[in-house]
Amino acid sequence: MNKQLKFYSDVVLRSQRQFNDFAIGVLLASSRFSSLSKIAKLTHFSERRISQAAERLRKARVLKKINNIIILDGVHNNKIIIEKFRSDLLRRHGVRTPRPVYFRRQWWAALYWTNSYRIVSDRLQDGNLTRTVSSKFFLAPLTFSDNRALWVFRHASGFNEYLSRYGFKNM
Amino acid sequence: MLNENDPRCIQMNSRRMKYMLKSGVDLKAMRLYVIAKHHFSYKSGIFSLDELVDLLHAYGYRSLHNKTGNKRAAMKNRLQTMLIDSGLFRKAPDGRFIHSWQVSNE
Repeated sequence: MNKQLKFYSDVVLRSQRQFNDFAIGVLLASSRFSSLSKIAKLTHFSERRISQAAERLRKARVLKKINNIIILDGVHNNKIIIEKFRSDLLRRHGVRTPRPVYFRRQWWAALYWTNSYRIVSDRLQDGNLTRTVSSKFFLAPLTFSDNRALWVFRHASGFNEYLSRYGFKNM
Repeated sequence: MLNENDPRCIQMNSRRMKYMLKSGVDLKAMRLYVIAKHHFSYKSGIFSLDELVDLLHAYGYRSLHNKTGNKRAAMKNRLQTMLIDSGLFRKAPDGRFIHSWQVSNE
């Protein structure tokens, strides 16, 4: 997605540190799935530095943090079984998962995804407001009232497939 | 609300920034590029090193003052190599610089 971040010159260009934060903000808001490690690799900063910049930009109300969740297909509709599945994951693998999500009239097991950031609209404006579907594997985002976004994946049809594709690092 | 026509407004395209970083541009050079673009684009983007050093003094480089004991000469030498190596600037025939980033197929 082609986005432009706008800001006041006397704020951003005052120091190199401010400019680095600004650049990190541009990269964070550019894609829904821009993880900290990817941006760290691009900018040659540490992941800790990127997360600090993201937190600073969030406090300054430049970016809005979105906590992404993906739901798992192939897990039973029963809520109790999903809770057992969650407890198994925590006990055996140490993976923390969100509560069961009620979506399309049934219960789903869900996993945490990397957080993404959006530009706050009252302070800054997007360059192109038209949303183009560039990603391969999501169907539709479902936004909640609090900063959560739910992503339904087309190809990740089961938990084993998810693990083989993405691994434990992304959780 | 920040307007595009506001002279203080800075815009940064995410795709362009990604491409720059992937092609090996440093963030220090990128900041110089944004400063030069912001201040010199109204006069065809051509600027001398003295003008750039004056600007940098306004942007917080305290040692670049006009009194005795300044560090302008050392800064100019450093800038000259940095500007050319970054690929974000070109040298004009009269020795001045032009901010111009062009996509190369190499």
